[in-house]
Order: sequence, then C-alpha cells, then structure tokens
Amino acid sequence: MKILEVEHVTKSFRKKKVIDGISFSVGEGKVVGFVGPNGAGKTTTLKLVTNILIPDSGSIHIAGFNILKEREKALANVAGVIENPALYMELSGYDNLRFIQRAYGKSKSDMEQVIEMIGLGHAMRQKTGRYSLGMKQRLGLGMALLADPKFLILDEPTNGLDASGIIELRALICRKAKEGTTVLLSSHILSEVDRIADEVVFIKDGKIVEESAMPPLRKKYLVKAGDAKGVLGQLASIRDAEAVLVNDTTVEFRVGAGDFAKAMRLVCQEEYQVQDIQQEGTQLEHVYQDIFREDA
Amino acid sequence: MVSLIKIEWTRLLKNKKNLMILGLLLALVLLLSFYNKKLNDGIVLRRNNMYELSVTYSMMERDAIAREYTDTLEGVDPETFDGIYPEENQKRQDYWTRDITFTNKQWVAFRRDGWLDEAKATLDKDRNMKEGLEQGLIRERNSQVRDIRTLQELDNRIRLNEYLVEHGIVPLKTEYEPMAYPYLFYLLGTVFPLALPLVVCLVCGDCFAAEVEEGSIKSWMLVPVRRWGIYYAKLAANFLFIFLSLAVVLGTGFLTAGLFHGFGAADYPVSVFYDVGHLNMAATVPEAAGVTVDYLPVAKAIWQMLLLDGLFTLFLTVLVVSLGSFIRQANTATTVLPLLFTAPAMLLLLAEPGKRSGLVSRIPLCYGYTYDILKAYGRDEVYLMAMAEAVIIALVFIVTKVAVKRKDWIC
Repeated sequence: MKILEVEHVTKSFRKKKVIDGISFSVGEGKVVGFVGPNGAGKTTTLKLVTNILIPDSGSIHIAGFNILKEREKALANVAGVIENPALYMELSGYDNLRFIQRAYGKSKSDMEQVIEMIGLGHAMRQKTGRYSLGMKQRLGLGMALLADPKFLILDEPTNGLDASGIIELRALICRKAKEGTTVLLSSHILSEVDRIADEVVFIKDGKIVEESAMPPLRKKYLVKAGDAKGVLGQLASIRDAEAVLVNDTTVEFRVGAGDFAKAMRLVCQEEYQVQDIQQEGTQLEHVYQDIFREDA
Repeated sequence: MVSLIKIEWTRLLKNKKNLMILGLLLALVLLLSFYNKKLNDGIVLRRNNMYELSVTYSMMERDAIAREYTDTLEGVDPETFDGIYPEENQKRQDYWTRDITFTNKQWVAFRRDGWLDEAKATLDKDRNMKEGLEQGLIRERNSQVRDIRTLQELDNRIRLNEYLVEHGIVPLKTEYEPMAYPYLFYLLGTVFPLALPLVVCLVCGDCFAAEVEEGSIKSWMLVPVRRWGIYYAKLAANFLFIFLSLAVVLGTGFLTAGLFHGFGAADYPVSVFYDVGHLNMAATVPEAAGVTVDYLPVAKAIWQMLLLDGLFTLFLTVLVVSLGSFIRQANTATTVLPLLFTAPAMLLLLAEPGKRSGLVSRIPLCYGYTYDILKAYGRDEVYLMAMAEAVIIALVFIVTKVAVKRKDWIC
C-alpha cells in the first residue's frame, strides 16, 4: 500500500518551471530519503505534497485521498516540519504545542509525553524567539509528532541540532518507523539518510532522476596491510562484501553494517599485518556523486 | 473550526502589537474624558463672560432708548413705559430688549439649582419672541432677529426647552460635557470614525502576512481542514477580537466618565440636523440655524449607532482580512491597508457638515455617522447602503474562496 503517490506533478513560479512532471511514491511504513542539491525542488515538492502549494498539473494522493479534492482527509494522515519549524516566536514553547494539541484534538497527556520526548521541559515557558536553532528544531519536531501522523515529513530535520540531538533524532525516526509511521526525510546530510532510509528518491532540476530501494548500508573501507592479497581472500568469504585490490598494500571493500564486525574479525589477524583501516564515505555518497556529477 | 478560532484568538491576545494598539486607544479614551471636562469648563467660562458683557450692553442700550423716549415725552417711567405709549410700542420694546440679552444668555447653561424655573421662563420669552417676529413687531434696527433663519433657530430652541422641561432633564452646559452618555455619544461620533478603521487595519491587516513572514502559517496549512476553513477561522477570530476589544474600550470610557463626571440622563436629547445629515448633543443653543432639527434620546441614538457600527466592523474586518491574506509582508499590510481605509474617514472629518456632497455624503454610513444618514436621508438610503455592504462582503467572500482554493494564496 502506498501512502504517498505523486503523479506527473508540475509547478511553475513566474513562468519558471521548478517542478517538472515528477512522479514517485512512498510505501507505507518505509523511511524514504529525499535527496538533491540546493534548488533541486525538494522543499517545493514537500510543499506540494502537503498542499501548502497547489500544483499546476498532476495529482497527489495521500493514503488514497486526493490532496486537492479531499484535503482534510488526506492531511489527517500527515504532519511534518517543512523548510523550518513553523513556530510563533512571541509565544512560549508550551503555547506553540497547544496550537497542535487544539488543532488535532489531542489530550494534555499526549502533549506531556511529547515534551518529555523532545527534552524541552525546562524551556516550555520561554518564548520560542529566545530558543536556539536546535531547540526550535526539536520543538518543531515535537509539534509534528504530537499530531501523531501516519506519514511524517521532515525537511532538513538535523539543521541546528548538536551531535546528541542528531543521535536522538535518528533514534526517534527509527522508533517511529518501527511503530509503522512512514517517514519522508529530506536532508543534505547523506550519511544520515544512508543510516536511516529504506529507499531514496533523487531529485535534480525539478525532475526525479532516481528512485530506488537502498541497499543494506554498505560503507567503503580502505585497509592497508602487508598481505593485502590475504585480506582480499578473507573478505571474499563474506557473501555481500565487495572487495578490490587497489595495490600491493591496499584493499578497498564495501560491507553492510551487519557484516562489519565479521569482516574485522577476519581481517585483523596478525598474519595479514594490518596497519590501518579507514572509512571512505557511504555508497549513497557515491551514487549521489554519480548522479550530480555536473553540480559537484 | 472552533479550535482554530481559539488558536487565532490566543495569537491575537498574546500579540504585543495588538495589546499596544488597544492600550493606546484605551488611554486615549480615558484621557479624552478629562480633556473634554477642561474644554467644557473653558467654554462655559468664556460664555459667562460674554453673557455678562451682553447684559451690560443691553442695559446701556435700554437706558439709551429710554432717554430717547423721555426726551420726546416728559414724565415717562423708563422702566415700564406704562400708560404713555400705545400697546404696540410697548411690545416692541419688550421683544427688542429681551432679544439682545437672551441670545447670549442661552449660551450659558441654566444654573443646576433652579434650572427648571429658568427654562420655563426662557420658554415663555421665546414664545413671545416668536410671536413678535411672526407679527413683525420687532423693530428692524435689531438686525439679529429679522430673518427666517432666526425664526427657525428660535423654533428649534423652543422645542428643545419643551423637551427638557417635559422630561425633567438638566441641560448640558456645552456639547463637550464629559458625562457618561454624552461622552459615549461623542466617542462614537468623533473618535471612532477614524479609530475603528485604523484599529481594524492594524490588528487584522497582517493576520496572514505576519505568519507568512514568521513561517508559522505552515502550521495552519497542515491542519486537516479545507483551505477556506483557515480563512474563515481567522476572519471569525479577528472579528470577535476587534468587536469585544472595542466594546471593552467603549465600556471603560463610559464607566470612567460616569464615575468621575456623572452618568447624565439616558434620554437627554440629541439634535438631528436633517438638512446637513449631522447629529450633535443638544446643548442650550442649537449649533446650526436655518435647518430642520429633531430631538431623540441619546441612549436610543447610541444604541442604533452601536448596531450600525457593529455591522460596519464586520464589513471592514472582512475586507481587511481578505485583502490582507494576499499580502505577504507584514509591514506592507500595516501601512497600505490603514491608509486605504482611513482615507475616507479623514475626508469626512475634514469636510464641514452641510458641505458634504456626492460620494462623501455617503461615506458617513460606513464611518460611524450611520445615524446621521438614517435621519437625514431616510431609511431607504440606509437599507441601500447596508445592501451594498452585503453585496461587497459576498463578492469578497467569493473572490477569496476561489483564490484560496485554486491559487497558492498565502505561501
């Protein structure tokens, strides 16, 4: 079952076509990364999906409801943070959450749970204008979560978050995904998408250029060892690993997260004289580079 | 929908700018009641002085006349002229001398104690004067009482004093007397025609633009309701906020004036000047001569003005919120809209009553002078204008609804 179906959607601003007949879909319960360079049309697409903007042509269905004809039914399944957190700077964090609590008819205990989840209990009475960027991001996320949507849209959710905030956010998205929430995640930070997403949609110049399921997380590593051939032989015994001999002392290999420990056990043996192991970016980064080579 | 109205209500109530605007209006209303007291006292003092002067002048004239007659005929009693001149001449003397003193005397309010006797005496004198004028007994050398304008003025004054005596109402010293009822009437007639559009524009004009700038509008846009549901919720909350805020401001002004200066009579007469489409508190002298004047109780006038102002507030809120929803910058909304909607009120305030013509004469209906038009042009005119307002509201609704549904609207 698809929770989001976008078909042949176009959108122009002052005769400039910014979204050019895009079509993609998001399956229920998936975490989907939405990736593209600046100005590719990511945020515009998310605004179209949430009916903040109206497409010039094409159709958008959420949970089977046409967003233009059955807006209220379609949006009953969606919440999110688009572009930046939609906050009232003159109101307190508590009042901002009250907005969502009232609009979506949620209880105060739901609100308390969310406050605890986003870790802003100490700052709830402060005006959000005085919040740091990270705190605003947390509050915006809290507002989206309070709506308890089936489909969560997050546009650059890690903006302004510190390291622990990013880790918490990642854990939160994973938890929500396990609970059955579909997440559409737009981010510049490919490693984050790489870690979380089941599928990735690539957008460039307002067109979808690639829509594919993510392979299991496969990072690229470089191993420097006295016996590089020996290392290569060991890695060949791991089914999903890809290993290449770069030169006499270096092996490049890609391996999923689940097999990384096994690979280390096999490689790090005294006889192979391993001197150094370096991580070299993710597969997503390579795909990204391939697709957006011109921009790079 | 109700929850969205509550949300917008909270936003309006916690917005510093809104609180500042309403605070300033409240301060203005409170201060004006004390300023009016000062103004009133100043006018009374000036009129008292003029009265004293006119009495002295009148007595000098009377002595001169008496001397003129005594020079001609010896043995005349200069105080009465009794038995010496024909009755016709005697009447002329009486009307003439009374006229000089009376016109100025009317400028000064009757004394609070014994005002009824004075009003009755004035009424008798006025009736005599009217009779004298109608019969042509007043001597031509008295220029103040020879034309029809004066006769009209006299007639208006007689009816006013009849009203006061009949209802047992203590007359106002001036129209600025800051008692609660006249003060509320004054606020509705002079302060609100300008304050109402200004407050509506400043409070409601940026209800969308400010949120677009801040980004908070996206929270609204994600709420699972129809797009125009957002527009209606904002419109309803803004109208309620404006309506209740202005009610609080007017109520506070009324109570403050009542507590400090007294409430006054609810049935105090308001002069309705039919020919110029103007209303005023009836003080002891009608403000304009040569026009048809009617009197109605001030409480009734206030009530009807409030009803029509309520309708106008709705009309204005619909226009301002609708136009404001297409403006994306808060500063533009809070400068262009007030200029647009207060311009007619400014024109109206600049135009002298009686000199309004064409379109300007129709503006009062929309800017607090609704009752003037009702009385001056008749009920049909008011219904016509109310229908025009309703048609404009309907058109704005349709245009906004189409735009809201089909266009990007606010984002």
